[in-house]
Amino acid sequence: MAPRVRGLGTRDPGRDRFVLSKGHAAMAWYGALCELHVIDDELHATYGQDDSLLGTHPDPELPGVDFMTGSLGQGLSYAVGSAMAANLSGNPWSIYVVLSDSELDEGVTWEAALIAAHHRCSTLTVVLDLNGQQALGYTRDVLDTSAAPAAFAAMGWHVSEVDGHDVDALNAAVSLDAEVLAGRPHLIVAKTSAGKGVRFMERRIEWHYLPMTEAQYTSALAELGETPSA
Amino acid sequence: MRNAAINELAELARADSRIMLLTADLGFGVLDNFARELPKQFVNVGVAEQAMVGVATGMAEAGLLPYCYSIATFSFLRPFEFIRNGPVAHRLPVTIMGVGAGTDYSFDGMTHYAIEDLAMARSQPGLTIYAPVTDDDARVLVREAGERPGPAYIRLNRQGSPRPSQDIRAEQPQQTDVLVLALGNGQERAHAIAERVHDSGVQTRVLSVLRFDEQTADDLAAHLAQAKVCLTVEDHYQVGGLGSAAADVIATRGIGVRLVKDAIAALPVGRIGSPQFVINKLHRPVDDLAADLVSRLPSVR
Repeated sequence: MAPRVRGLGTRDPGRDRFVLSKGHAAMAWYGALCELHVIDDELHATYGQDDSLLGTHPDPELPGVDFMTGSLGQGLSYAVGSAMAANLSGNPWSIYVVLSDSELDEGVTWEAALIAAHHRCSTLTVVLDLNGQQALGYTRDVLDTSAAPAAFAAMGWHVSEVDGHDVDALNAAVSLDAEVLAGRPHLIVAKTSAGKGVRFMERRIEWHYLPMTEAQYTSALAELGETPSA
Repeated sequence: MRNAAINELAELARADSRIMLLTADLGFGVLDNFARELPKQFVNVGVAEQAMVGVATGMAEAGLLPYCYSIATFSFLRPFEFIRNGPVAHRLPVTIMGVGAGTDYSFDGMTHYAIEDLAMARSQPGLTIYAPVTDDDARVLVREAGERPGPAYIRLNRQGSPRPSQDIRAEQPQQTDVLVLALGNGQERAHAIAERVHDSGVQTRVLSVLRFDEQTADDLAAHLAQAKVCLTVEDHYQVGGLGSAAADVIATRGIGVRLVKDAIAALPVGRIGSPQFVINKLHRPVDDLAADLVSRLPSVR
């Protein structure tokens, strides 16, 4: 997603916007920012240390962070406001959002979704990270939100579904033609597995919280075909 | 007062297309002219106050100047976390307009009373609070809010006070026995109390605090230092409002003035009535307060 965001890391008013509504995934976003040289390796290496701009959740003072997130359910409404401003500008930019499926529990997500459809926010693309997990359990057990994609479609969104681990499929979905969208905002339902590729982690709730032991770290990297960095 | 504020905003908006007026589906008869005349700058987001502030945050980040309008409990209290994490954290020029400050919506009951908004707003760094007393104040302060960078909260009464306000920031400090500081529509009550105190031959002065920002503590200190007893009058809970702001200044700057707070202590559920009925129900009688102030004067004791 990050390479698609025009003007990433600048404050140019006409740039694209990216909203990591699931702010707890900031570590992944920091990696992307570093790969794209929006932040340098030295800054990236300060993650979680004293006096670092890289915390568990994104801080608005970090380049490449358009909006502070971390309180679930706030990101989508920021993006809708940006999309409405983009529509008014006459030279619209794109707004990308990564939304957690647990944010579907938040009432304000639905407020924002209705507003986006009503105001024809067609420059808004939301990737729903449908990993089926939330803080205390599986989504189907905590609060069943499986009707959400159909509900978005019924509200006037264009809804696509992809394998969230298939980067080509995600790229194709994000690149959908404006004619197909016909003025509608776009929800991409990305089916994912938390902990993908590491057997002892995959789809296990506790790995939302637990630190790895050294042995688990080595074993996880081996499964992913990586070697520990120096 | 709300009409004066919105008419002033419309005047600003005619000259500046970045100004957006958002409402969460309230403002019947108040926002109609703005909506008709400036349709591209008006959005009714529906009854969705949290999303309204979130949308305003996204708009402000993109360079627009959004104003979010509703009854104060809905535009300020309900989306408070959105205000905190949005305009306040990002230092964005979003202005929240809250109508019905205090118990203005007296017949509507506690759900419609904004009596802790000042406590919440004062806690936020960089959030400027405006509390007009008269329609003229509302016009001036809407304009001032528009010229200041950063977020603002304008707490509006339904009706402006008929008597001009004496702004603590504009008035020169003067020695007085009793200083009465008022918030918003508390000014009329402040004058009623001051008149009774004056009748006992005690010198009184009534001023209003129209702004809470980085200068307010200095404003308060300058005037408090000239008084023997201070009464704060506010249609707000006892904790966190004007009285607390004065107490902070008195304690931290070591000012030798006795403070009496006229504020709401009880939970305001139960019987409703006219604005005057509800204020009388929730506040001490004016005569009691006047006698209390006089009794606290060192020379009288």
